[in-house]
Amino acid sequence: MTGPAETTSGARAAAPAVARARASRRLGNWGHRNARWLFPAPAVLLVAAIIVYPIVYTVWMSLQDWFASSLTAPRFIGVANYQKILVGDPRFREAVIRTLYFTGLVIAGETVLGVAMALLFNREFWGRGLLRTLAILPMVATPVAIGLVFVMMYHPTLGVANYMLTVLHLPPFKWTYSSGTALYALAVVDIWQWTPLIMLIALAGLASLPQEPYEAAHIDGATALQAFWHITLPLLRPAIVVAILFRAIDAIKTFDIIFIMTQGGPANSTETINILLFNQAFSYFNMGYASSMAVALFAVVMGASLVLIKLRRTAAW
Amino acid sequence: MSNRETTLTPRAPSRRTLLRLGGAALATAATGPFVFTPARAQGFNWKRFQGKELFLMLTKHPWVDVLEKNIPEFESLSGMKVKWETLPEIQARQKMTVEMTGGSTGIDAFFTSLHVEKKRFWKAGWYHPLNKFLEDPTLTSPDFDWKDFTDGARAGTTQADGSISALAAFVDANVLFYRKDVFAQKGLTPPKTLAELEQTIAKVHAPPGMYGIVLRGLKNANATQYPSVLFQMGGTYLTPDGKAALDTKEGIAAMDYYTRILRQYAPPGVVNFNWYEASAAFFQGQVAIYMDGVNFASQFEDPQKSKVVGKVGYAMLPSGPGGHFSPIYITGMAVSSASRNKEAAYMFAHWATNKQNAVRELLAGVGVGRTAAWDNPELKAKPKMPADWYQAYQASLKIGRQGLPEIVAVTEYRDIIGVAIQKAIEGAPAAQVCAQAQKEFQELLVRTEG
Amino acid sequence: MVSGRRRRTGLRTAGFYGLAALFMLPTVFVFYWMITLSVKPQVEATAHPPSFFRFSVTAAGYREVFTKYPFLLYTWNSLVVAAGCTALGLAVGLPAAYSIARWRQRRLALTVLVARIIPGISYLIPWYIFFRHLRLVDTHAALILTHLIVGLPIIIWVMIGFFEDVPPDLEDAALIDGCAYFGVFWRVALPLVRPGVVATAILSFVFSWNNFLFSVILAGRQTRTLPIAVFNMISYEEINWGTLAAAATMITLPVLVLALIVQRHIVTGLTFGAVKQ
Repeated sequence: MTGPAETTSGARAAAPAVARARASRRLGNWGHRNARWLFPAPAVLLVAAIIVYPIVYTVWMSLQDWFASSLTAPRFIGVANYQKILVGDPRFREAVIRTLYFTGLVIAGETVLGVAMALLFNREFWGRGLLRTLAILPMVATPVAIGLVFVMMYHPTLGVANYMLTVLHLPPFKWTYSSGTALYALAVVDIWQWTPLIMLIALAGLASLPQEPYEAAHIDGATALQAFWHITLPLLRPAIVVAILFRAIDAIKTFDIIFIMTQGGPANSTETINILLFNQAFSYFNMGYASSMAVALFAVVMGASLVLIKLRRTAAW
Repeated sequence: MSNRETTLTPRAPSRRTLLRLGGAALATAATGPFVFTPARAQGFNWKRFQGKELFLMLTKHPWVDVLEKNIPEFESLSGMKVKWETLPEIQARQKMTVEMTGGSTGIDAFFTSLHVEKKRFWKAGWYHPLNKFLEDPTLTSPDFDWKDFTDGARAGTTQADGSISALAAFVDANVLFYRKDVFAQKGLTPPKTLAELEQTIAKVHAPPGMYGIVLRGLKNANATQYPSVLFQMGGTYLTPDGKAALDTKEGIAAMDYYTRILRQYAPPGVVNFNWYEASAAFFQGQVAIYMDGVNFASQFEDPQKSKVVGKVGYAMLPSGPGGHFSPIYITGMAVSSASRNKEAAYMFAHWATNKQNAVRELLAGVGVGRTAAWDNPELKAKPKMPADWYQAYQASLKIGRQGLPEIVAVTEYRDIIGVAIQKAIEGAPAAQVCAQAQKEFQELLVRTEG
Repeated sequence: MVSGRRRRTGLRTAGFYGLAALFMLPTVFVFYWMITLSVKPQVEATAHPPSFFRFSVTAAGYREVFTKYPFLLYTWNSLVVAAGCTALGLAVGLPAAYSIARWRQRRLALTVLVARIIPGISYLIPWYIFFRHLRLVDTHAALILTHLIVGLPIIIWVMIGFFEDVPPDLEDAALIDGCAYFGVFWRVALPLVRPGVVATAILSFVFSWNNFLFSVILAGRQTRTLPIAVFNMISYEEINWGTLAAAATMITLPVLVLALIVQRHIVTGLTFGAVKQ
């Protein structure tokens, strides 16, 4: 589509129009050649514009000692905050372990359930649209409201959860009301709420699966299970890993439900890095220390993300 | 919010004031002190800041609910325009922190929870001292009467350096709630001492239908109820020279008592009970005794919410070997140091906490820090709450004592003691958790005080 | 023979619906609980034993939600912000995802992911300062831009996978026929990845809808969003269960309706095989 091949005799009369066409074609060519930069540019620039200042601010603040105040200025202390996080704060170290454990729990639960539900719902059946919409409801509900509803459901003597256990002749459970069980009770809430995310992405992935491999496998006499294991899963893997990636990022940073249900208790048994970070910033006003914790949290999440990104595809990336 | 900073001309009031002062000085110099000059303001004038616009940051609280209804009255009285935002306490504080550290001048006055913020906001320089305003008869209405506030209220809003940071709005005292019917059945009377309390609890404890007692167990939340036992045992937070004092003999005895009665006589799961689970257990009729802030009573007496309406008795907290105290927690209206309309903001704050509004609060069943209001005839004629509630509340105010240590890092302290209490409820020995808390608290003090 | 097969199909259908019901039970139950809470009088909300089917009904919760708070304003704000950030997210995110998929621009993808990885709290103070200087506090613009941080990364990353699955031969054919990259993107790739677009649009909308942290700090009275209304039901010394549940139900409703409408598009755009033929 290059070159002035379109100009014909009698061109002088049509010169301006031709020139305009040529100019727009040149622009089109330029756009075509530089597509690989033009396409992502708006998104990347927009994101960069919004995150640059916060990143600079947080890193700078992490090197200061500052009690949030209009009177005293931040005091430069170099990497002292980081030293404290790494060696001087057992509470932080415990929070890291607890955070990773919680994340592992909920990711496992949500992936298994989410993929299972996607497989189940990936077919034509009566009520399909409604059912699939209902299935994403938990993700849509405000975490705070859900947290409070669960708080009352989990109440050891007044709550409906234990009531149902007694009806089923099971012993009552302590849920969030004991340091041994609180983390698991919170995991249940998280799994309830976020399984739909995995399901939704897996469903979209299933919907775009090509038909040929299945037809070929059927001709070769493969069973449904073999088809699933050798065709569906590998083809779905990129989509599922991306879903897990985002869920992991959010799970490590889980805040709302922990805050509203246990506030990190009982006895710090549900204190994750983000809860600790929030307290440091907005309850204790240690802005500098909180910023260094934010950087540390970022590092943890980034590390987990890179690991997951590697798992996304065997070949590409 | 975006227009706040652009519609006001910050120079105007000071120019006006300067003119006024200048004119007065000139007139006085020329004609002596007895001649009335038009330039001098004639005492207090509500409409002095007419046309100004104020923005308030308020916390969701029953006291604020009543205030919000009456703000239009202030607007017509003063000719000012008032805008406000009401958020739950933690979000309000968060927003305040972001705005103040972000350099905003948008907030003029705010509702402050002194038991959490007093020293912290003072250190951050966010309270504008009100002393000069209180002493200025042109800014303070003559019937305001600063001395009408209880000693505890005034002490609670004054910093160590004498600067007054806020005007007391709501003073929360801790009292004892009990089931009159259950007590009557067993021939019991409200216990007067901690020892009697434990015996009474044991007598009414009849699980699973009726538990003896419930108190807050959730870390941080429990720190405001804990002094109900700690003080009576003679325990305290700080030594006179400001060091941690949590592991004294009395402190350990208090920790042991508080967690023992919960471990033995409270509903299961109490270790993580915040006020909503604790009060729910009480007003659903599951527990016979509860100790907490006075304002929960309005829920108990609300037939929409409570199963025990009319069955609740109110009494002062039991005394102990160390004395008789009721932990009190004060909230107030403060003026922001970043405000461009400090005097106008002060005018609002002092209107909100004046005698008329105090009576209105009491009529609505919300407590206040003023003394005269309690004797208001209208209140005596149709009280919203039962008589023994008012008696218990007033008497408790008289033995009121600041419930939390007045240090900068109050929230951190609450977390430290809160975790200790939770561990002890779950079975750890009191001496051990107190020793641990003592260590952490002392470290905290060294790091943050001074 | 035929009747046997029909019975087996019948059993399988029953089994299917049984399994579906089992999976849906927790979801349905919690929402059922929330909705009944919204119509129960306070005293029954925390009653024990809990009443599942027999309880008195009151509209008090909903009445309070609508009278005490400018609920319609909040809903409008949430809608504008969520729709705005999703539209903007798709407009800039889809081309970006296509480009990253086609030219394997791994680093750009990571840059966008970083926005989502940064802890939300780190944004608060710097953004407040930033938007205050631009005089954008209490505007929809500020909220839309900041909510992009939650929506855009997921749009891009999920769509990368879908774009990667578009067969290169189709694209090459279009290029040979004289299409510019934009044409290939618009006319060939995009229609094929419609299920992904719908899924990510829903996700972006939902994340923005529920975002609380940024809205508290950057929204003012005119631009306050729905989750804040829920928070306001919790006050000192009282949780208004009926109103809280009513507010929560009202918040969930619009998104439910939206998702139902949008779901239909997943079904229509699905003919992957037909396009190949």
